Amino acid sequence: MIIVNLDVMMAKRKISLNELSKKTGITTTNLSILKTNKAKAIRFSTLELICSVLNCQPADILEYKEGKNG
Amino acid sequence: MKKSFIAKVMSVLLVIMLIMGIVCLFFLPNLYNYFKDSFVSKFQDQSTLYQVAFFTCYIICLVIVFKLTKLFHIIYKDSPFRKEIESSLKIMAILFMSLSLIVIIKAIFIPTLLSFVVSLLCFLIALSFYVLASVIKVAIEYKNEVDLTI
Repeated sequence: MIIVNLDVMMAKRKISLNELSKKTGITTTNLSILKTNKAKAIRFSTLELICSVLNCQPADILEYKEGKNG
Repeated sequence: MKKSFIAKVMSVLLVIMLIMGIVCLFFLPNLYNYFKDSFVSKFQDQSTLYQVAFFTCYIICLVIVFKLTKLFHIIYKDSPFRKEIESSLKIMAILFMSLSLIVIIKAIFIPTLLSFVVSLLCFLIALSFYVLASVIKVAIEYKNEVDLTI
């Protein structure tokens, strides 16, 4: 399964959910869905926005772990 | 989401139908007695069977109208892609199927062309509702996936 490590990156960059939301233009609801690993898919454009604001690589946010999806 | 005007009109019409149906429920024996004189002699020989079929079908129809009222209310207030809609459609499919069964059983004892036509019609409506429920189920899955795509 794919794990979203958005909370880890946010903690590393010392940025809050509201701040990230304002900088990326993604709603806090959607960021919260991403943070809690409830998202089913992520668009490249969303990933690009998050990576540009957090100044990181997609691999820093996404991680593959063996296990059942969902 | 844009609210559907047709759903609102249908919802109001169905509420009126439901109220009229409930009011008529209290006068059902009177209505039955009023109309039974116009039945042909074959009906009067099997009047108990006809009475049971008539009252059961009436109750089932009332439940269908109630379910339709709820369904259109949900469509007007929210969206058609909800679990309640799917389950409502499935329940209505079962109700129409039972209507079809009752009418066909009645038609075995009191065969009329109209009974067979009504039974077939109810069977087809039941199938349509079941297909629609399956389509809604798939649509809900797709909607959830789209909603959770960030």
